Amino acid sequence: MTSVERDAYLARAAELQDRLHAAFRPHPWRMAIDLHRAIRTYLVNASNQRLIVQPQEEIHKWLRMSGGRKDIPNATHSIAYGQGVNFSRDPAWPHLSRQQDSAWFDFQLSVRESSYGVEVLAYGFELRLVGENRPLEFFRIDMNHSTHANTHDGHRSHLHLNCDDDGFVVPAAVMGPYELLDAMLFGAVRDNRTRGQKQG
Amino acid sequence: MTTGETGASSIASRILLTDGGWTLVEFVSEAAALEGAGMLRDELTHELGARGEQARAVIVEFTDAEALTRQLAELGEADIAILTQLDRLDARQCEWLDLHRGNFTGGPRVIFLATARAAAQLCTAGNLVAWLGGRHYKFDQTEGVMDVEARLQTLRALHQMDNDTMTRLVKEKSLPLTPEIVEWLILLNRGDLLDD
Repeated sequence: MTSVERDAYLARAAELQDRLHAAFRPHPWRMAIDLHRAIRTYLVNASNQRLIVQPQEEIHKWLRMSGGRKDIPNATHSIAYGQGVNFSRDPAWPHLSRQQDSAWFDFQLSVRESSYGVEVLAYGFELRLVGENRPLEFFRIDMNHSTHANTHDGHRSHLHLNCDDDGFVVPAAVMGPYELLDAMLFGAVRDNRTRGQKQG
Repeated sequence: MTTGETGASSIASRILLTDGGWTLVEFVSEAAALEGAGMLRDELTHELGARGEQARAVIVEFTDAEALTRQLAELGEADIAILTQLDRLDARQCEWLDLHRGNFTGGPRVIFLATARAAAQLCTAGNLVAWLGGRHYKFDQTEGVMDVEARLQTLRALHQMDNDTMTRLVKEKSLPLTPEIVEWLILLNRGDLLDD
């Protein structure tokens, strides 16, 4: 366990990913449309409680799912907010904004329907911070799909801190849709306490 | 007068914000109305469940005006009746409904799913129009449906390659299956390549 050879490091990383996935308890949505509706209800609640500034109508408009509502065995779907992958981080694109600090986010999940419910195959949730003294510009919680071709990449579930480079990542917990949305709504918020400072 | 194009989930949310009254939803055809009825029922059932309400959303097939009175009387005040087959509604029945509107007081909330022709017919009944109180929507079937080509375009721009190149690289196992690549495969209906 003390080896710092690359193979040893990757073996530990793979073991960590297995552990993270084993700890994850999926919610049993029956079909992708059920998950789509559940996310919509969460976001509408956040809008009603003024946690995000977008009104209900925009959520209905921009939370979208691919592949229709037909019940096809093993059908795969994408559920996303917005019109595309906003890789240039253009605030003119549809997104959701937090009321308290104007940080803004969007997300995408890929899922597969199966006889035991909806399986989340991969996801990306990105929050962009705004303001002069922001400690970072963005973070993104990604989960890649697991295949043998992927094992050499190390961390299937990872966090990008201010950098899109595939190597500039640290491991992250495997989360369910509500937990990921919680991270967007309530994560990375300044509370004016700093390490080492006495609590007021 | 309609209030613009609106989809099943938006209409469901708006109806649940009302305590009563009727709603008119206009469709391009009777077939679209029948499909829309199922969508509205599913959205309303989800919304009612999410709010912990016991009320039901039920599809009611219109046969004639007097039968409708009996059909609606079987439902509770909190229930929602989704009324289809309104192309059977003629001027005489419309007049009957208009005159007997009092029969429906204390009944369920009603959504009339109508083609433009049936909607125009309904709108000749002054008392019914008053019950609609401006809740007259044109149905938007695309609400919540992803614009696949728009997303594919952003994925191609991000990775600077075309669909075929991406698919080939995935088959060769030389492309990590990042969230963007996984979505790209799904949007191309190649979810089968995600099997281990």
